Amino acid sequence: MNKLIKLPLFLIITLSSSFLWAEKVQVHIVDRDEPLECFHEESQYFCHDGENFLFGRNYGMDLYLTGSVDGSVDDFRVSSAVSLDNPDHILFEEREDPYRDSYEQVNRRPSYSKELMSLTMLENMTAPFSYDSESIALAKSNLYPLVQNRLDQIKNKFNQSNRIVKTEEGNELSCSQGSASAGQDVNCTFYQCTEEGSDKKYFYISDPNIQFGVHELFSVGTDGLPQREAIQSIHFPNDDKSILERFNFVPSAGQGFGEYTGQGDFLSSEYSYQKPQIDYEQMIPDFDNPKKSDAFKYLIGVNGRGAMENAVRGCSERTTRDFFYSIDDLMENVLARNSVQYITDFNNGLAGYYLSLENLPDIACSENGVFYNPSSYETARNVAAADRNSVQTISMEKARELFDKAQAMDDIAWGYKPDGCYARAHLMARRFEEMGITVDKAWLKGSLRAQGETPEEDIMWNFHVAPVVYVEHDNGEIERVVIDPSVEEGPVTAMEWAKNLSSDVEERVNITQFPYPENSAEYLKNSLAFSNSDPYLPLESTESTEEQKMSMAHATMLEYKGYE
Amino acid sequence: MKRDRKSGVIIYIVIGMACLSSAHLWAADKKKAAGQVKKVQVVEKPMHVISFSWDATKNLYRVSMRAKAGVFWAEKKDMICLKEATKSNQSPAQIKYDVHTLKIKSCRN
Repeated sequence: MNKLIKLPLFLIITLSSSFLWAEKVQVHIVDRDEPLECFHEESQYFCHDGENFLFGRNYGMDLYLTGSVDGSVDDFRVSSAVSLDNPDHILFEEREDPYRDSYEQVNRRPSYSKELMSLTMLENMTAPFSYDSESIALAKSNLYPLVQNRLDQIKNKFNQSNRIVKTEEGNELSCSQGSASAGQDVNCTFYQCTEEGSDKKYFYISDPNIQFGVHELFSVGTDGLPQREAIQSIHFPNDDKSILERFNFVPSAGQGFGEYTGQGDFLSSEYSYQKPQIDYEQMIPDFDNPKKSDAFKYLIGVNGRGAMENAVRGCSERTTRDFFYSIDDLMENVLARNSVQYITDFNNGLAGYYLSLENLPDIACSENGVFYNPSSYETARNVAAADRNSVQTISMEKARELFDKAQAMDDIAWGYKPDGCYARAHLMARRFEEMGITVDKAWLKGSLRAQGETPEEDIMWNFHVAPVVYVEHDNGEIERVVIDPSVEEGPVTAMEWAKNLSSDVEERVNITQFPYPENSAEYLKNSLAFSNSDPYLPLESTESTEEQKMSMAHATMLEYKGYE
Repeated sequence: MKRDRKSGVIIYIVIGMACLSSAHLWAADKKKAAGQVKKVQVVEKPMHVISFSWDATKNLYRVSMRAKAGVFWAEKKDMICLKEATKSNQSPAQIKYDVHTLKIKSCRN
């Protein structure tokens, strides 16, 4: 071959392979004197100690290694991982975790199988294997066939279409797999169960990722509402050992979806931040049966419904329809009847929540159906929107003019939509006020979606805010109209604006008092609220000054102009 | 003569590659003009994680941050860090994310 061709080819091959090489690292394991020599790439580690192959990866603040794949899998806690080429480069260093000891208590349920986790981790681990070494060649020739063989055997077992589920009350249920959805690459792991001599409907759900310990059993009572049942054991047909026992499922802090506790610890993270004056239990309505409360708790918890939907995503809609109908009944009908808005102190400011009516604090005052902590009422009144019947109004033409003026404000980052509505709203509001216009703010909370150029580019928000002006129509009717060039082509009524952003909840929008309920998304609602033009962010301290707010708004827009 | 033929082949290859590159650059310019190309821009900031929940459709965690309206997205590997960050009275987590997609690249407590 000509030298002129050989040289570029050599350069291309050399440069590409240099990107593929893994880094050599020294890994120290707790309670083991000798460090291990490992290969590291993309948070994945592969080690060979002469006898065993060990492999693992970083999960957040922890690094786990597990060893051997002959069925006897051990966990190793890593204390440090340091680059061999550059000892100053510390890839991982164990830090004090004040919650480590409490994980076992909190995670009562088996969360993942060590063996299945190790096997699937190794099956999917590719990065460090790009390195050319004897131990990696050995792993490829000896370990991979073993892993594949073992995994095939286990997957065949899990592919059986029936399960026997025993409830904690001693009922034995025979469960059959639902039909799979066309075009899905995962199995349907939703089962319909029957009990001999009973008409009661049961649904058993597991995770399609077999290494995770999601196992949930629900029954549907005569009122059509779901009840969460406690499981004693799950078996493959003709197997005395339960699945959890056979594959050694254990509780864990970090992996899988088994972190359901029923105790509201991990679940209530949104409410634990800086300790609001209500607790998680107050959001659960009283039901005639604790199993319904338990189902409700699971469904509004951080991972409950999401984990369940993940588990049934390979199933046909026909298979899961009855079950999800019962859930919708629980969420919509029961909540609509039983929940009220409660406003209380939070972080030197205010926060709103949906609470169960029967769990309201003993001392609460109410106005127009909204309940207040008495110490919060005055603060809430101070930020309330104007009464629309006693404000200075403008015409729709004037509102259009304001919209055009806002769109022309070139210090506002209109070209960057993922965040910053609060800064845009504040700047617009203050500038409209300088023109002598009465301005309030419309706030929307829940699951919000603004259309991007393609569906994949849709923008999701937790909340959104924009200035509101008061438009008087020819017939004397006064309407709240939103000026929001970030999502609209012109001025629109507040309800239109809210519905345009609420396609995820089928346009279900509730009008609430400011501050809106923080837990709106869990209740499958979007909440619209109005304040005067002073609040800058939700959950902010009332001690923030106007100067600070303007300074934050300008800084945010300056930063976001750079992202356009 | 033989040498000339080889040189000719090389010249054709070089011209071909140059044409391909210009076509590629032209297409990229056109996309950019249509606003379809967004530069990947990653920043790292201290942030307070308020809550996170699993999104089955995206196969990612949906994360709410204090003082941010946008929904951030995180992979399973960041779960422990996020969980730690939501504990009460914790200092903010160091979050590295893509400013256009709000996808979290890394999370450190």
